[in-house]
Amino acid sequence: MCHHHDEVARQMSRREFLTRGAMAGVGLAALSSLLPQSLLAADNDRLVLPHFPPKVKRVVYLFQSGGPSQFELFDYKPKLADMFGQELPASIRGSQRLTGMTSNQKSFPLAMGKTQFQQHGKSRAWVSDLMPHTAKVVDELCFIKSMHTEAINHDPAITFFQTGSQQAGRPSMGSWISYGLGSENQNLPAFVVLLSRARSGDQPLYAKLWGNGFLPSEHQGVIFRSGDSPVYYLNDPKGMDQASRRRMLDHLNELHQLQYKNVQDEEINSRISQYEMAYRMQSSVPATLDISKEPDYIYNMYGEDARKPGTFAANCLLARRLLEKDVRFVQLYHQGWDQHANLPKDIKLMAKSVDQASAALINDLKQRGLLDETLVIWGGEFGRTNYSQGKLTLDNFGRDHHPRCFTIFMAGAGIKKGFTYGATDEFGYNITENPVHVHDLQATVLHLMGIDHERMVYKSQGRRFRLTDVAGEVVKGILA
Amino acid sequence: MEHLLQFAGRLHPLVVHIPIGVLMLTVSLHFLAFTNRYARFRELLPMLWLISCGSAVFASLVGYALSLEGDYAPEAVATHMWLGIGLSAGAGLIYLLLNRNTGTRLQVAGVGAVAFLLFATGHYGGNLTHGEDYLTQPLHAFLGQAPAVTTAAPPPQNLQEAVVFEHLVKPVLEQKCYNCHGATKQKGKLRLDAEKFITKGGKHGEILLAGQAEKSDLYARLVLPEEDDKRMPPKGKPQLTEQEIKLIYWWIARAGGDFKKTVAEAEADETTKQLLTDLHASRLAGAAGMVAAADSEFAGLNAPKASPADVKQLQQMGMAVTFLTPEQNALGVNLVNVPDFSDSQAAALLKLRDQLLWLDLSGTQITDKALEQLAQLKHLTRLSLDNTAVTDEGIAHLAKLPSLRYLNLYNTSVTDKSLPVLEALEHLRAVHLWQTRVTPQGVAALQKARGQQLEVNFGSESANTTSL
Repeated sequence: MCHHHDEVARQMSRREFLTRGAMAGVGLAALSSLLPQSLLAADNDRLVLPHFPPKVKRVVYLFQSGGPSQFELFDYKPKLADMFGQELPASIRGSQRLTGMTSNQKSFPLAMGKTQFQQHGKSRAWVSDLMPHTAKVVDELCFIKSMHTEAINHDPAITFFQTGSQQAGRPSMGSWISYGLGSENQNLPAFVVLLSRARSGDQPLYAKLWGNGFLPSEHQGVIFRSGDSPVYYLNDPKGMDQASRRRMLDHLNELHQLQYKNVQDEEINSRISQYEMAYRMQSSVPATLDISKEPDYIYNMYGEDARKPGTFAANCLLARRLLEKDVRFVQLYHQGWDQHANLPKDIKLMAKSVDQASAALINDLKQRGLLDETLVIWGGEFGRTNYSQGKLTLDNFGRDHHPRCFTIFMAGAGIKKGFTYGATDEFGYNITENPVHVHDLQATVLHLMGIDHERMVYKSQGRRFRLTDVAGEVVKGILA
Repeated sequence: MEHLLQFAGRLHPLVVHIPIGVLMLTVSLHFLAFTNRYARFRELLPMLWLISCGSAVFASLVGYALSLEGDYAPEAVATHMWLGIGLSAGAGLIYLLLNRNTGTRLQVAGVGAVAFLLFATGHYGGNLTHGEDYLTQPLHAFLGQAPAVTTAAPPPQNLQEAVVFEHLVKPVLEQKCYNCHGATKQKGKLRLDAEKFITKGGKHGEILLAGQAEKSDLYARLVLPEEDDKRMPPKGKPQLTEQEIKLIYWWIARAGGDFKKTVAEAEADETTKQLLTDLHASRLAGAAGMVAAADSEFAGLNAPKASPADVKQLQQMGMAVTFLTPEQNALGVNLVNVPDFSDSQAAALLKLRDQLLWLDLSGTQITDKALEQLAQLKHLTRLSLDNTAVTDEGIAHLAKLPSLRYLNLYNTSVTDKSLPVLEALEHLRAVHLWQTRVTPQGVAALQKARGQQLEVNFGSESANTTSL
């Protein structure tokens, strides 16, 4: 299934490897006779997928960057309103670390504003009034109220969610899946990234989050933008026609082949395939991303925002079009949830910017029959504290980062619908049942795609790496 | 004396491994000793068989002591006990046979019989300790079948009608308690798998005092510190969740430990209502999940691996071919790269008729004609025909595809005429009919005929009302 590996294996036989090694004067021949054949074969060639039948063909990850407050959205804690302004009991807080932003506070007053909660759907899930559209689709959703992470600041926390490591440099989840399963659509990348237009003050996002790490570079996420020029540098310059482009690529390809014969660097093959993909995308991308012909009732579903390029709503609509074309992994990022202050006012705006489109995407996938084979993930990198950062009034307060528990939701194939998994204590500070670690979530996503997270490994710099590092267990409790 | 006997009995799980090891070795060496190369082992055999017999007798004796404690179901113990006695006797018999220089054939039969007895005894012993489905459960799961043992009926959809004990409490006991307090094993002489056993209690007396949760062992032991010897389930075993413990407290303290009351009759307060709603929802979902696992679309698949040449041929036509099982004997084919795929090319798919399960023809040029041929793909479980020119005439052919589970007809011109065909597809789980000429009345009738088993998708409300 991984054509590039077959290619390398074919071209670089054991004999070639030995003669080349010997010519280089390394004396490998003598050494290699002592080694089993298996150690000489390229380690990364042996991936045979799936490990078991998949439930899900595609994933769309609606990443809510900044850390949305679970208390204003999904994790209903009436106790916080009852004990408004009172100190968070030391027995609950324990001795765990706080960020530098609140660790100097003398007081940790429990905070809850005027946000109201109601139960919705047959599943009777609690959803706040800030998410009225999401509330209507709760019977499609699987809430995980017991997510927890190891990181307490944005960048390491997002990197952890995306790559399984807090340090930069590992492949992103989409890259792993692209590497493992490839793309069904030859004319679009397997891993596409859509960014909402950031506003000033948002926590920044970096390309490393969708980077391929040590995997071949054709598996990196490709950023699409809405608007006239969805992919940077994809269009031919003025005066260049398709035929000249094709001739140029053919000649370039010959040069690449020559170079490959000399140095056998796999990245050259990656580069060839990227040039070819870009060429095919010149015709496939404009057609796929043209949302101007979407009927009005679709805009009614996603909201008028969907007409403005760069909004979360427009990106949700683009995501649906990409999923319809069988793009394997679509990653959205929406920034602005980092509400250390002015939370009650700001979270209203944030919720408004994502609520309708998130629910519309689920409904739209459903009516097209795609939700049966697609997994939707919605959530941020950590949660927020139950106590106020800074001054607390009923109308205004802030919440600090809280990695010990937060809520995300999923929808789609292979998981239970109208279901809530895990729970937090009545203060919403600690998990009381069924904790789900970031690696557990990653293991579960791979599981749904037919991949055993412990068996999809890639050897780099002498070590075998996994998306889930050395941990992670599939969350069996949410599987349908 | 009684305590010494108890101590000896509890040595059984340890001691039992000595005859297992020795017998394995003895049986292996005995077979090897038949060959000329290892003939020198022959002189060892009498001594080995004597040790085997002795250790087996010793293990049986302490085993008998253990059975006196009465923690295990007598019938289940009897099988294991008689097998163990047979095994000890068998080992002794072979020792005697060896001293009389009997022929090889008799020895082979005897040693073979002992080996068989060894595995049988061990297996039934294992079942006693771990429960009957311990060994086979992963296999059932692997084969996509429901777990062998489950008695809890799925609760009614309406929470108010659910019986508190039967639909909410019992599943918890089944999951977390039956293993030691069930049909095969009764630690502390306690069974929890039926009302009469629960009311009877165990060797420390009654465990359920209506209205007095703190005095009822059925609740009180759940909340002892984990280090306490009396804590249930014991440290290291799967524990009840906080919600489940709250449920049992409420059932004993407020619902009087009644076995017949429904949720409506038990009059729960607000917090408990929430608790019951949550538990009910997860029970419903769990029951649905179990059904789904029980009839996986990949169960019973026995096609050979697809021929690489055939796969390659389809790939060269631009089709995306995906393996769906590690054995590569189930395939998915997606035509997303071949939008001009037409009826004349459909025959190419028939080569993989034994392996093809998922077929995505969405947005291609195919018509009813292609469906006539594709009806030969008898293993198909997922078929996407959305955004094509297929009509009722083509859908009629789908009657020959009994395994279909998922069918996407969105944005086609099918009408209510197709609905009887769909209704007759007994494995169909989801059908997508948004933007077709099917009428709401037709959809309602189909939904009624198939009930909750089939998800009929007619589009989301908002989209339909605005599009019409």
